[in-house]
Amino acid sequence: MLMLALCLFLWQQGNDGFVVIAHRDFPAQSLTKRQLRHIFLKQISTIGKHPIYPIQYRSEESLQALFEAAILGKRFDAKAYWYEQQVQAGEKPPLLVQNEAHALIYIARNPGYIGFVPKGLSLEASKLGAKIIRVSDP
Amino acid sequence: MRYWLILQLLASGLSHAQELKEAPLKGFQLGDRVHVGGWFDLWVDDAQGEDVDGYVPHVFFFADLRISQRVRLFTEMASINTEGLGGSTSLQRAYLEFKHSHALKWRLGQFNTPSGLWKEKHWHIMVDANRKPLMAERRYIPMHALGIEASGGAMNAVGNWDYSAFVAQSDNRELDNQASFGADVSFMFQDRYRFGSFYYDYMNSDESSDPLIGQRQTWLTYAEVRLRENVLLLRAERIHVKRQGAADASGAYAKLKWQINQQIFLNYRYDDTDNVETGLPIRSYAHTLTAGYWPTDWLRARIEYGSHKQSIDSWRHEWSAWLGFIF
Repeated sequence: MLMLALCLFLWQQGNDGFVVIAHRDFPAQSLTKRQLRHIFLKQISTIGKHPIYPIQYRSEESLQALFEAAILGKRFDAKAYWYEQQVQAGEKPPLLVQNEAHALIYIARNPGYIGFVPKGLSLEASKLGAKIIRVSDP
Repeated sequence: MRYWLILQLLASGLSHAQELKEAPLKGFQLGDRVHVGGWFDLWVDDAQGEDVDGYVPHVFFFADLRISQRVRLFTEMASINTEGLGGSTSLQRAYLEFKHSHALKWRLGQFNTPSGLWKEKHWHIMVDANRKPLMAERRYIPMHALGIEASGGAMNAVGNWDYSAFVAQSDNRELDNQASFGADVSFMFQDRYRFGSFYYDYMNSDESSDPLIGQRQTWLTYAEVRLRENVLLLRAERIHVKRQGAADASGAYAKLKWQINQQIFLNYRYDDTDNVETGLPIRSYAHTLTAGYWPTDWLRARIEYGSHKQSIDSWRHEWSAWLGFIF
């Protein structure tokens, strides 16, 4: 029942946008879209001396599509990008979380992790101790 | 508030123990450390007005062994059937890689010569035209280097730098004891504007269309601009080859790509390059218009119209269609 309630709640969040969250020890309060793009394309692996680990959802998830369009660009083909990275440089995409609840809890409990959840979960993210990262242009 | 409680309750179940999963990649994962994959393609053309010809020009297969978090061994084999005239199977890449950080990565073995933009992603399964740029087809710069490479990148508030420097054995059967060296540096500004330059000092390679043996000093300069969130891509590369005992050779191409949506694109390219095969001062020109359709993550298709000429000939026209399968 609890899972069902959570799923219903998360479903209600719909496409209301997303917030970027990170572990409370994450070494930045805000990031530009460009920095986020580099983090999620794994072109940055540290901030200062702190290692950072982006996590994402399966490509079929609407929240993932929303994030990619907003941060990576509307025409950006993430699957093609990661295939090229795999063949050229052996790089792999960020690890996957199962759903928004998993993202919230994993990020809140594991230093260095950064991800995104529906905007409607901002309060829950704060209550779990995760840091809300402000995102600025460009 | 009740959702917060639900989350708290779930938190006890979803903890460190619930591991993150690897994103699915093309190819096959063998155990925890080995990933294999590849691609092949089909080609149909009526080159130079001749009969329609179809064949399988490429079969590529790679194996990626992750020895540790920082060390991997990568090998790639390919069977290449040039213009349907007969195939050959060869080792394309085989190197041991040590990734110290994003700023420094070492490769030891045979790797792609890290030069400019086109060669960086030259595989038919990734490029946006059926025919290569003429300056790449001439193979003034050897496709592979056997040696050691250091590469990496750095980012600051303005943009990001990428570099690669390498020392390699000359790929020339008659002068195979000669060392060669090269370096490529590029700067990307605002994730939109990229400028770079590559220099390579080497003995002319056996694979080059240039038949003369001797030392070569090659400069490649390049620029790329991405506009309207990657909808439009403008790119140009220019090569200048200083040839020992012969006249210099040069070439360039410029292209415009329109990414209509995530699956469909149009690409136009203009080529203008010296042809030194015969020793006569011949210049080659080409216009290439390509429509690409990448409907899934395992299937890619392109259809292309090309028009090309040598300085002493009239224009010749060609249609070609290409289909690539990733496995």
